[in-house]
Amino acid sequence: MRAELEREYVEYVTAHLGRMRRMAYLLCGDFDRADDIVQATVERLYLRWRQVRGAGNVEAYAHTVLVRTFLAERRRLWSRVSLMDHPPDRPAPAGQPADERIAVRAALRKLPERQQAVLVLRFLCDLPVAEVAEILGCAQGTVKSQTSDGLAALRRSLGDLPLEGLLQRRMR
Amino acid sequence: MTDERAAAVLRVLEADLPPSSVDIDRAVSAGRRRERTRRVLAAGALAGVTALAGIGVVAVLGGNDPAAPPLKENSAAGPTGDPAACVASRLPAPTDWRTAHPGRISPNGRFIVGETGDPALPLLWTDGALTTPAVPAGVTAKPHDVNDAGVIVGLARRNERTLPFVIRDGAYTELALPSGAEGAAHAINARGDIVGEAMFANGDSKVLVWKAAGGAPTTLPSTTKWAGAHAITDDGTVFGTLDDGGTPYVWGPDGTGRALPAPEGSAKGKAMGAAGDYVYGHAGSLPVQGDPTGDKKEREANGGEPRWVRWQVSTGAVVEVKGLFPNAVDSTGTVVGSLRKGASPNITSGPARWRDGKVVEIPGPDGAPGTGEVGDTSVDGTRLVGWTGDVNAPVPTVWRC
Repeated sequence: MRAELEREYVEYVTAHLGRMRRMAYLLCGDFDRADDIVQATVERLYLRWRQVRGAGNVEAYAHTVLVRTFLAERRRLWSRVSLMDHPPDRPAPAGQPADERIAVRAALRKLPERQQAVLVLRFLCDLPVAEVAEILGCAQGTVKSQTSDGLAALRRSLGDLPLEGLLQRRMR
Repeated sequence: MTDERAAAVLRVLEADLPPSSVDIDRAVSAGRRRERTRRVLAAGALAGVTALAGIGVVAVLGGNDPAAPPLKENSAAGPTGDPAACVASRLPAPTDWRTAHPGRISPNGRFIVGETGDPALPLLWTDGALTTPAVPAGVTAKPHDVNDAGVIVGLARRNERTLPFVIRDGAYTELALPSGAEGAAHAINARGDIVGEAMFANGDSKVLVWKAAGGAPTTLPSTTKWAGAHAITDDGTVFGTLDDGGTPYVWGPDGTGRALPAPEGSAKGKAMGAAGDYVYGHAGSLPVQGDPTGDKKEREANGGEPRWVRWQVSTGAVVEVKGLFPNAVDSTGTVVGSLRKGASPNITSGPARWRDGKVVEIPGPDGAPGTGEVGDTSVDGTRLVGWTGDVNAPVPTVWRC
């Protein structure tokens, strides 16, 4: 890569690192794995930088690579017998009960991986339906149906858990 | 809860991120290296040295072991239906809101272990009748195997530690570990020998065998940082891996280890289950092809999936298992698991088994092939266990074949 392009790449990645790490963490629920996913994403981005910046949709491309890296990793993990079937979430930030977060993460993990991704991208990363459809390579209708299926399954899982108090605190 | 409230609950997952461990300099130097490799390969191809593409690159750079046994190619026909072969019935499920996930079946088919989620607790079906073995307060326990006497082994969590457990005649006990280690039990044979894993504080892991006779566990020899094992046959032979997928490995009853033969084009792998003379597992990954902007079909056909294989121990023969995601093998060499159905993005899995190179879909409780997965098989292949129906509300299912 030419020096000028490379500088541009480093500037872009540096500026967007925080956002990519947050997205990866919300998808996988583990800080270390999140950084591995981001590392793989930025390495891939380097190889395609010339084409991607020319097409002018760097962020959409980066999100696509990141989400698909997460999905591919999930498929690989799924096929293994893992010693720690669900690596526990790290300690919660101050003031937030850890068990509630773990309960929500566990409920999310029970969903098919693409549904998990749809819910995280739509509700935690606030991406519009069209962009989520683009990232996952599917129709917008599919994103909508996976959103409602995923939320319904979450409700089924969480319905009996004492999350209502937490929710009221957060909505106030 | 309404949809809005369920969505708002997701916000609890937000967390302050620790300092970044992403290394941009490393990405740049890795990228430069890849660009150089591409140029060298392209130059080689232009010079007519050799045509390198896709899997060819892996084979040439990785080197072929001349002693590798030939990989028998199966003309993997598409799945064919044979609804008469197996009859499904529902297993009783817990009556509360929890989901039951049946996992393993004993070699004689009498006992099935599974778990419920949140908190993970064991379930035991004996001749089809469900019981919930008691575990001490504060313990979550995930069963990994059950033998013909109904003895359950698995992974427990207590005081934030991961520990191997056994439930024998309804009594829960934890197995001894080397000092300072955590661990888990993965499999048990007919006479009660248990194989598992010890994880040490420095990140190393070793394979342990707890003999039926009792006493401290034996550590099986391994020279790599990680060693793991997932199967023990009735004569005490242990199957597993060195370096977590680095080398498929077997330890004889006397503890001496050797690598399982790798098929042509593979050096890596992991043995994941065994019955009689047969072992299943993977021989590394299929090459990842394309990238997110490339051809989607091609990527989904190959995207870094494990290259599943079945070994025959006595002959050393390795056969590639195509078209199935395996979960277990029986003593006739039949592999059970799931096949992928439907097109992206609505891919689901269906219960299926692989025999002599052919994948056969297995019907669900309504008699028609549906969604689900076969999780395990009895040693003779006449009893299968798994789930059918909606992945979000799986129905525990047994098949009589």
